[in-house]
Amino acid sequence: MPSKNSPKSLKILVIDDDVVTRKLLGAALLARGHAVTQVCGLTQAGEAIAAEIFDASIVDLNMPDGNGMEFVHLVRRGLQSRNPTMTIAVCSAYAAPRPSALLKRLGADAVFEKPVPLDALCALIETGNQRQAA
Amino acid sequence: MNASTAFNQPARPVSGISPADASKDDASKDDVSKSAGGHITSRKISSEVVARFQKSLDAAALLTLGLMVEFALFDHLTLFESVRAISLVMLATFTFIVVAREAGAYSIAHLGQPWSGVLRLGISAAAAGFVVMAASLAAGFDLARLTLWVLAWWAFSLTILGAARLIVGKYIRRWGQAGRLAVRVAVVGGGRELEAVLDRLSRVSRAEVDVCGYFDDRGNARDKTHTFGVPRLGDIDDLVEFSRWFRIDTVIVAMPLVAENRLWVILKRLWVMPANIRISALSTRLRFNRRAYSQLGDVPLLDTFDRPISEWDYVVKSVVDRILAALMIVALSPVMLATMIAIRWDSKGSVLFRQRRYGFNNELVEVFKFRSMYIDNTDQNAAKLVTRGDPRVTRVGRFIRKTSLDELPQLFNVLRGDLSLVGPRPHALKAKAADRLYDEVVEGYFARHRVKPGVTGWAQIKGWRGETDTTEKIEARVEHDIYYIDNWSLWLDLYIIAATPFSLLNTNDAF
Repeated sequence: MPSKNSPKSLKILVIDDDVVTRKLLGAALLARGHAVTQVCGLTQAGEAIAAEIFDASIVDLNMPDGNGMEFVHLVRRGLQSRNPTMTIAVCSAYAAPRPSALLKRLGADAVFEKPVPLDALCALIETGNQRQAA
Repeated sequence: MNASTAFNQPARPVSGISPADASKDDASKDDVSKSAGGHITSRKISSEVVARFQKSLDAAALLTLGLMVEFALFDHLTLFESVRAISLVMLATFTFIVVAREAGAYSIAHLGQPWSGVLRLGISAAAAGFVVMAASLAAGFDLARLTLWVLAWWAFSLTILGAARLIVGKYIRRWGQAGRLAVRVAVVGGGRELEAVLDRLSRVSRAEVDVCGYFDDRGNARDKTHTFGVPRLGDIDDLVEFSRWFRIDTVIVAMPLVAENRLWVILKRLWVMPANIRISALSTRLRFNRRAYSQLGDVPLLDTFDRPISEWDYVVKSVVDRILAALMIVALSPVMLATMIAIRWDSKGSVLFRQRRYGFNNELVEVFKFRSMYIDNTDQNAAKLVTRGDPRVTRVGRFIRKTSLDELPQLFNVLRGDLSLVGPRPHALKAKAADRLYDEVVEGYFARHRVKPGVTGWAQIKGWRGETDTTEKIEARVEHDIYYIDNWSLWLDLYIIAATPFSLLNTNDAF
């Protein structure tokens, strides 16, 4: 049920191999009225973005079967990406400067350090990115 | 938890360029415990390996079917008749496979399109049939008997190989669409050469070549963010980091060949990476012999460095590793059990000791050992090397270190795919020689991480075991490691495995 402070319900993909982070983010986004799909790795994420159109995604940088950089590439340049302009937020236990810069240039909209600042994350997702505006 | 975690791939390479990143990795233990694991990614599939696998399966099927048909249809009274029949089947199989290969039946494109693949199999079958007919008529076979065999062999082999193609083709198409068969490429360079390469590669199907990004070696910040749809990702330092994260297959250097100094600087940085390094020959006026080039799309490339032990070699080595490791575990299980009991009885603490070390592509792997020190003193990062008479070592510890029994649990690392049986020894992250980190001491140190580390190695059987306290010792070891990588063969591996027990007899170097 959409709450008052979220104007629009979005479809969001949450990708993290850590079940706690995943559930936590999922619950927070759900509470704001969004539809959330949770997957636990890059392989499943690739299948999800090929099957459905998501407005935004939140992806962990380090996962056992791949990493967040590969996901950003998969969304922006992948052959089966159904929405190449979706908003992408990358989360990492530690956002080193060089990987963060690479992520941005690959097309990530933001890189957050864990624990993820929920307000900033929701603000980003709900306003969308410039790719979608264009 | 799910299928994908079963692959257990380490996802975090340690940056070879900024020590700050490496020390950070030490702090986040959690990350590593879950990321230590095998090296086959669940996403990328080598098209070369797929093709080769299909070819081997086809050959095996043809041989089996040929023999079955031959021995079902006819009686073989003498040894001579049997030998003659078997030779005939082998000749037919050989001709079939050679013709099919030359007709392109094992190119990934035809594997993905079953009907064009089946057509090529048909041509091969016809060719093989005629060659066999001609050869055996010359050898005095009966024509009617031969025709019967050829027809039966055609019917069976085309049905079964064709059906296999239809199934395989479905997967190949699916993998192709998901980009899993593509060669992952990064381009580095500048100017018109770089643009020309990106332009040409943009015309190749992305199912075949996935250009992940380009890098400007002169770091021209005013440059655009994308060229032919490919993002500009930074400078040469960024490339080194990026190719570790992405496991880039091929790095293309695109700049005028006359820019010798720039080329030299770039190659010096890149050769330690586990990737193929190629120089674009697109805009060079020099036209070498055609054979001097390899092709990617229609970009001619000069092969500069090849990724060692890759593709089919990697498959062979992995399979042999696991089979031998499993056999050794069974054979040595009494020794391991006894060691475990002794450790338990001697001092308190767990039997196993885990330490994070550099693995393939600078990724961290968790290496298992039997514990040889008192628990309060185990050294996670091996900042302080063990010396003779070290008080941190337990009584049992001294014995198992001396006999190298403490290394046996690494056979389980081999089963998991973190280690190979043979390779450069995995070094601890903070290991030092003469108070300097190894990669500061030895130029090209990270080049040893282009292959999986091993339980034993070339350096070890050549007498370079034990302490690495001096610069000379670590230099000699890296030199041996590089020699091994450059000269790898399955036979070299087997030789090193066979020689290892003898090198253990000289135990003066292990404390």
